[in-house]
Amino acid sequence: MIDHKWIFSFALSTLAVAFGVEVTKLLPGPIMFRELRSALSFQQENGASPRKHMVETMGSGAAFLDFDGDGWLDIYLVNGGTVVDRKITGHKGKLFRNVNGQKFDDVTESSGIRTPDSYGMGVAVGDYDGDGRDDLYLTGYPRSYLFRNLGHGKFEDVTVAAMAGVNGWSTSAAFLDYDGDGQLDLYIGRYVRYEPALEPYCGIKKEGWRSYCLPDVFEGASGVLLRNNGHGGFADVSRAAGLDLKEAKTLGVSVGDYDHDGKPDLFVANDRVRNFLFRNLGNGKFEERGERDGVAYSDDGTARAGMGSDMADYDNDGHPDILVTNFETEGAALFRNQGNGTFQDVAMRSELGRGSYRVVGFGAKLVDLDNDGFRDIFLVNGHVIDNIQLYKDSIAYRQPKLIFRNTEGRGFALQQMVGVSRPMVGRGAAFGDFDNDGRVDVLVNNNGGQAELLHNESSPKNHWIGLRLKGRTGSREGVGARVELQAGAVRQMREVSGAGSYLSANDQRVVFGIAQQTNVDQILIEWPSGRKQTILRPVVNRYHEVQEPEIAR
Amino acid sequence: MLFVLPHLLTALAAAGASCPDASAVVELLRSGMIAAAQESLGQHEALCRNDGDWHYLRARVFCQSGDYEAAGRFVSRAISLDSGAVEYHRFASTIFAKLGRTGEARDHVGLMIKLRSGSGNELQQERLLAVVLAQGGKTAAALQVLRALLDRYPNDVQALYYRALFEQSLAEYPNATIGYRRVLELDSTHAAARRQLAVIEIENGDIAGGLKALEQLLARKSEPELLFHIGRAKWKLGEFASAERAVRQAIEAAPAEARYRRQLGLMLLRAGSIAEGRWQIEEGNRMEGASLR
Repeated sequence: MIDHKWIFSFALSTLAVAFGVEVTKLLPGPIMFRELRSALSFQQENGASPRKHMVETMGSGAAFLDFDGDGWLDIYLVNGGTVVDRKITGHKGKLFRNVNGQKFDDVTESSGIRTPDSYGMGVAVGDYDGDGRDDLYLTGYPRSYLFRNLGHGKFEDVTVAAMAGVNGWSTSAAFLDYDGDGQLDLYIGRYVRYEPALEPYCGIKKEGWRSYCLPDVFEGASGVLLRNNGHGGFADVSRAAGLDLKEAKTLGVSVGDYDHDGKPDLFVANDRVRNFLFRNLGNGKFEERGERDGVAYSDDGTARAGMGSDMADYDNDGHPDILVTNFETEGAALFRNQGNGTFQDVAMRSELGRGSYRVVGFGAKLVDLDNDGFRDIFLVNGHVIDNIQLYKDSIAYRQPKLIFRNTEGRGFALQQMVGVSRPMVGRGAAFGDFDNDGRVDVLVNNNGGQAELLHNESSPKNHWIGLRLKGRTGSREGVGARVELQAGAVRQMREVSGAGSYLSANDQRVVFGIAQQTNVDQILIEWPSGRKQTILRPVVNRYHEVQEPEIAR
Repeated sequence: MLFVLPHLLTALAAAGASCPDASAVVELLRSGMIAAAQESLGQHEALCRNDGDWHYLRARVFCQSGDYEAAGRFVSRAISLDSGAVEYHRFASTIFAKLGRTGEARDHVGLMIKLRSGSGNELQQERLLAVVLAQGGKTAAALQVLRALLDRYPNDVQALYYRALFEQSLAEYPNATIGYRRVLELDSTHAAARRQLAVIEIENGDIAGGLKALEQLLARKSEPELLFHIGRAKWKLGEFASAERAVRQAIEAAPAEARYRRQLGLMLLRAGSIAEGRWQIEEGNRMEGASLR
């Protein structure tokens, strides 16, 4: 039942030496990270111009994927581009191969990934053709791309052949199997009906004061649902599925089964437009329930500037909650799933609301960073207006990353980060355990700045268990599966998804922190196919590959 | 109807030699018809060269179109033509605060107070300057002004209150709480400080405690802001019907307050009245847009 070949452990000192670590920063406290400065060479080029094209300030994303299937997480970083008159040029993103946890090699040139005519935004990862290899979907303006993983480090642009291209300004995207046919479909958020040539002057008319416009100056653009036909192609079913809401100004997309009916639902974070919660009705249609279920607005009825989002259970009650990052003076939102299909924003009840009040949040994840069994919050921040200090003297352009430690499901405490996280213009953030030590690391893409690889160096005293699901049909990662762990009195739930955060794709393996427990009583897996599987007393502190059974057991 | 006003003004100007009455331009500005207002003002430049109101309105137009530098120039010219107009100084202080020109903002605030009360008052000037700076997005500068003021006048209740209010606006609740408590030590009847303290208590999760304080204040004096916060607190406690009632009462007392409309909208949405809820939220947004103009 349990394949033990996925067993990795990696000594911290070995890692530090292997990556030639320049020790620059440490986060004091129970959750600690070290930035591996020389591990990656990547500079996001935003093409910032005096014309202040909106697209320059919004990107870009980051991904953890295992494109070569060797069990070590590789990296893809999306790059920006330039806008000159009406001509859009895309700058080259980079693919880095993780060499046995020893180093990252830049393999972009040989990979065949090219996006020359689109300003890069986001990335989604999924095995859409079920061949066991991670494929890449890249969003941007004015077009998106699907790259099929051919194996041997090669990718092929199949956008046209697969009919997977989306026009306009696409942002966060997510692979999900919305119709339960075993094939991964794609949801792609779009921001606005953008036309650089029509961009007005925004801000005060004074030398040096021109600012990037808010999305209000453009019409919204509906998201797109591409249904996988199982033969290597996709069809746009957005309208039939009820997802073509024209007012959308989407930046963040996350997936989860919030009503536990076995069908993946979609949360869509919109910028200065109400958020959407698309409940999957199971007949190929979705119902938008954001207003009714309490996630559309802030608790004073304001449509906030939704950026990044994540859907996961922070209080271990078995119901996925929703995290959304917003604009300064709005604070992040944490919509607690009340178990009856409705949500309540509880961010201001803890330090999350206040601690995120003066930042513009983008990358965001509910993730157990110290393996104590409760998901913490990692926020990546940075303003969108590069001269914001002229307008608001208490708000900075470059902003620090923030960590909020989960106080055992009761709330969140802002983790002290003295002298650790240099302020950056943070955007995309991907979360994954790149050195297979059981602690989730963070990859950050900064607008106009160097990418940051943050190695999780929280105390290793807490135990953990990791699972890599292998489905029988469709994606090998078991996207959409629900996994429940019981260790003593502790129960936890995870859903398999690479979506969430901002413009980014995350490690699709499941990691449970189990604090000081040394035994796990059982793990129950509900596969998207409906099959259920129980694993009794698995060995802890290692990854297990779990194959979907042929029959229910 | 409004579209024909500029042409009417032109015709009026042609008929006589004096600068025409500005009320039509004011109306255009209120309606957000900036280009029409600008056109109308431009047509009367020759006639209105020495008219303070004309320059003031040009400043307003430039302000609305984002050209604060030009707005500053025109309002300064208006003041040079009529230095006794309080409104010109008020507007000038706002413009210079936005541009980060604190010294000039301070000068105009000082003159405004002098014109209103007949004498200068440093305390009043610095308090008002802080408010103007905060409204112009310069909260850090506003807090600096108040800190300097409180160094000299540590028991100035209004300065303490503003400082707490600005700290609250930055979600610095612990500091704001200390500030409001100090205000209440000095003036136990300061209802606004007590109300804000209750609002923070509610935000911090002590909903019942905050609600009780608000209801005590309401028993003394009915205010729409109290009703609004009572409604919010009750809603958080799940007392939906009485929450809605309180917010509706707040709207009755202050029908143009955008926040009350949006709050009611949110309550209606959660109750399943989607159409009416959306309408209330949109109405709130519309009101806020209009007040910003």
